[in-house]
Amino acid sequence: MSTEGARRPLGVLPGSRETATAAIPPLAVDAPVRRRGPGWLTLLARRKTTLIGAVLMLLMLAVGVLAPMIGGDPGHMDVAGRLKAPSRAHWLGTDDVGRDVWSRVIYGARLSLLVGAAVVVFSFAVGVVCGMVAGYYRRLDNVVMRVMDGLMAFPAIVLAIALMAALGASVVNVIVAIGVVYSPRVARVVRGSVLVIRETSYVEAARALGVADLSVMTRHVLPNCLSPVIVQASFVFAAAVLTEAALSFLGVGVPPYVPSWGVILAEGRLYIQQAPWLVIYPGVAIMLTIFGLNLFGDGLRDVLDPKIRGLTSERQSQT
Amino acid sequence: MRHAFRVPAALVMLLLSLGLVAPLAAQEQPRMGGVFKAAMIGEPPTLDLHKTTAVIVQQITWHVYETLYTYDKNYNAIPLLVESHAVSDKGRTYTFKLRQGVKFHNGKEMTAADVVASLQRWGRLATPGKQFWKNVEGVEAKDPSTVVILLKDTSGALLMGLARPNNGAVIYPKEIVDAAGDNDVKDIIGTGPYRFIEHKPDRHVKLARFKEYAARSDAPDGFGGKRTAYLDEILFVPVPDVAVRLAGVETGEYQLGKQIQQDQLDRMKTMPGVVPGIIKPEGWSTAVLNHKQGVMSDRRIRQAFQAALDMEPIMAAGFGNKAFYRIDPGMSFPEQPQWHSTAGGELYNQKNPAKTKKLLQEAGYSGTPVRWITTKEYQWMFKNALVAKQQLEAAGFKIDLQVVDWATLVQRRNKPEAWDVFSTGITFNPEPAFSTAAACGWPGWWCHEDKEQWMAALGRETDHKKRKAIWDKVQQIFYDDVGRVKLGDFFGLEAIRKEVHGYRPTNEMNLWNVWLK
Amino acid sequence: MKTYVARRLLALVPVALVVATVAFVLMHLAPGDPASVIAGPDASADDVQKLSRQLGLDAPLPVQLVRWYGRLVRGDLGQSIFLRKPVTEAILDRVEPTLLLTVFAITISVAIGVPAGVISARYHNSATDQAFMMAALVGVSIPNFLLGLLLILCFSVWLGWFPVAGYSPLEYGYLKTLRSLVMPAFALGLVQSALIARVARSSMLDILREQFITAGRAKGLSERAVVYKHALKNAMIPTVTIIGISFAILISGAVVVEQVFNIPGLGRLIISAVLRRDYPVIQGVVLCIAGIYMLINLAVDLSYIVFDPRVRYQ
Repeated sequence: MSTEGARRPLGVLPGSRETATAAIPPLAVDAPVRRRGPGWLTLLARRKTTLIGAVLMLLMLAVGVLAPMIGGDPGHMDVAGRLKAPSRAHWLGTDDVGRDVWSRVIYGARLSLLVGAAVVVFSFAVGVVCGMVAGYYRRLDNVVMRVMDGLMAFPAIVLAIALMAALGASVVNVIVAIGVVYSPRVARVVRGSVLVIRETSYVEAARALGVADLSVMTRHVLPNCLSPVIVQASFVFAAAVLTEAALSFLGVGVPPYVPSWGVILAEGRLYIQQAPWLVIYPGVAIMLTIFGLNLFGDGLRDVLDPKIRGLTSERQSQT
Repeated sequence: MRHAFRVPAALVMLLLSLGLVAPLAAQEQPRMGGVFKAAMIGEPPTLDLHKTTAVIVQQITWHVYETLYTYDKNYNAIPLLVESHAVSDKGRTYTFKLRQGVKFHNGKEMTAADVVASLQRWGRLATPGKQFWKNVEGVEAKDPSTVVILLKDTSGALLMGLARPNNGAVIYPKEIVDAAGDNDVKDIIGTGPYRFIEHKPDRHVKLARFKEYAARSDAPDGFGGKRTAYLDEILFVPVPDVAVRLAGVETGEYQLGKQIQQDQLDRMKTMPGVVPGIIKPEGWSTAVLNHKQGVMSDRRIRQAFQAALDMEPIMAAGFGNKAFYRIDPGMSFPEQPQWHSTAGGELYNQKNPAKTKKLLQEAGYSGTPVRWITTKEYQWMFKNALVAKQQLEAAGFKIDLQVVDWATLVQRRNKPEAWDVFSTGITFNPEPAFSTAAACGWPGWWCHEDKEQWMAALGRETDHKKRKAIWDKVQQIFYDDVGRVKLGDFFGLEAIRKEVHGYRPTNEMNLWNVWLK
Repeated sequence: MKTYVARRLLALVPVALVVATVAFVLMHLAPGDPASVIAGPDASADDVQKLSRQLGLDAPLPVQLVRWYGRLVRGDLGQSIFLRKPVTEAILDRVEPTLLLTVFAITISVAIGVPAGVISARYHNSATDQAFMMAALVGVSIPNFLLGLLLILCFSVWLGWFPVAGYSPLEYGYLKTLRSLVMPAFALGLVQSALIARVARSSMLDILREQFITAGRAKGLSERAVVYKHALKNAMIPTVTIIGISFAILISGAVVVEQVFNIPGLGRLIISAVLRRDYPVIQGVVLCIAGIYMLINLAVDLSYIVFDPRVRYQ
């Protein structure tokens, strides 16, 4: 079974317990490779592309955190000065009610940062717990994973839209909706790791010694399955940013007066002929952010777990 | 008054240079045939005209349904389904002789029984109908072609009330009225020049020429006189995306695009094949407050709301081009000098957030979010609300802006527990006695004892000077009691294909007597 | 092989159950009483009660859930509140544009992605390879709706080659329909092609490292035969997987792209249903899409019977 992982990196392993719907990420079939020699940070830094990714990420982080200082007022409407092209007064121009596009893009970064981080926390909290439980307890495995599979049978954006319809438009609800959508994907990766680690000798030894389950899980299993999980963080973050932008663009994400890149794009769409800057700048911001996260995530994955592919940069573009 | 649509000079020059003007002039003969596609802002919430004041419903259905009277080019009432009328008993009895041989779309001939049933339903369900009926003692069919309306008192506005197209007193067959009761009519059958074919929600409403239409013989005058259905079919297509509406007219997919953003005018002038149509005035933008339930039922909070607003940026955001809006306090327009009033105007456009803060404090406003429903389907409603929200929040309010589609807004505004403020526009109305803005039963439920009495008097009074004085009083109460909050007047812009002839841009939008070259 | 098929089908059942349950839960998550939402704002309290009983909404939740499964099995997705017609009918009305768009998009993504990936693998580590892969990474980082907007900016606004938006139904002519779908299909397809290219490339590379390839080269086969005849066939397995999955992804991507280009398909249907709080339609569309997703994944799994001989002997 273990050689097939290499031959078929993305397919479903025939005869595996995974169902058809879980064709997206496959099982992890090798133990995480532990390296001697240069630490992972050094390895990371060696790759040019990853470095670029890291720089972009840090840039976004800085912008988001410093928004109140560099952003100005995203809500201030100077109606007389609406739809003005970029100038010294308004670096990226103004929108259709006279709001400064630079401000809105900066605060949009802040929102994306908030949503991305919150979704990572939410989905990891839920996903790690569910994945650990599923991987560790054989009997619960079936049940938990069926539920996860069921949730993953809905394409991410469609499920997110339906959840937003039920919950109503607000930033918190967007976080919850996207978090719910991505938890199963995290759970799957965690479970895969746990399944393997469970079989290792030191875990067996611990259990034989009668160490409590919870203790085994937290002290032995969890730390070892973290590296594939950490790889996921970057991709989940990117997926969250993308999904929030899509939801807000569609009008079912954050309320329309919250500065979000998706909202700016939706409004800019109506003025695409007269004011293309309304589409170009938030668009560039989104691209750079996701590009950076993907580069960094790819690099992280290649360094930490070259044989394991969970949610990858390929997969997270599937909103 | 209304303007015929202007062909911009640039277009004429272009045509001249292409040598098309001469053949164009020769081809002014109307031509039968063609399919007309009108791009509308969205779905109509219903097709039963008795049930709603939403303009889009009137724009679609008044090709199918007709009223007893209609407006001529000066917005006076002229007969449509009626042959003649006589007034007796000191102005308290109106006897209408109906036209003979008017057929419904199902083949049945219209009789007094249909008229009586329809008028009664209108009086029961329609906003202007209810206002009208306050003065009505009874309606009866004297014989199959005569209808008598008995009034409690004289009326200065009866014919105008019967002529009003919006939420109008249209005539349905009696069987359909009886079958529907208070629910929406199931079958769309009227006497108009076009008959209803089908309604595919989110696709179109399709109408086709009614071959047995009984047209009047007098010459076309405004919306009255002879109505000829030149077009084979009319399709009203919901296109909520304004960019697509305009783009569709540019490519020729639609012959008419309603509600184009006013700042597109300059672009439109450069588009070959597209003629801009300006509707002046179209209406006044307003925030309707909920008097019945919720935080706005407190007068001080309403006054606080009214005091905070600075109308210039609100209107500028909504309409862009300065040529398309106007800051004016009147409930009627300056284009109607016989009705226009500035009474209460000192409370309009106060720009006084300090006063707002004080009033909110007095009223003990604790920060309850004010639920304001608006829509992006009428772009300007959303923008007006957005700017107003900012001003109100700076003055101490907390606003929860909810954006839905227009059809949902129209449905939801009927529930007093669901909202505190909603956005809409009050369209041009030549007869203040049936003003939607002043109506007690209309969502918002602005019922003020004095105002009701004045409105009743307005309905009864026949001397124009006295009527104007009453209207001034109503407007004063409108501002003192903060009936609704008027934001400003606006003019409409629409996009018309140059192949369309005979069309006058009006808010009511009629497609009879219109043909395609 | 028969066990394989049977196992795949059987595995579908619990997932379908969960999917149906999730859809049920969604409807009941919404604030407010579903009956009053359906009855509409003009309904009186009595009407709401009557409707509640009529729709079985007054029964305890587990009972409602079981009845819900029953209705689903019969294909009854309920009635749209706003459109006043069965949800299934509303969906069938809208399926044409979405389906056409998806097929067009997948054609583009395969036509671009597979050759790009194969060429990249063939000229591994060359400048072409690097360029393609960087382009692919960029492609994967652009949300499809953003690409759509940029395409509109470039090709409609600046160049004027295509209409800004809108869809021409099949009944008005194939060519017009195709023209109206070119940009949305590219917006969807290009992003997916990046993904397909990356997968095709990595599976080709893996195959090319295999022993049988080295053997072939040692035998004296031309490089061309090696790459295109032997390696490609084997690399097709995961590639077909990703193409199958892409189909499912594109359907959901269409939801967003339809909004950009104002195409009256399933995507617009679900968005307008959300804005109108038309819960039966939201539920119905979500279930429909999830169902298609599941079926496609099943088809992909079953396709291994053809592509992977090892499966036949399970």
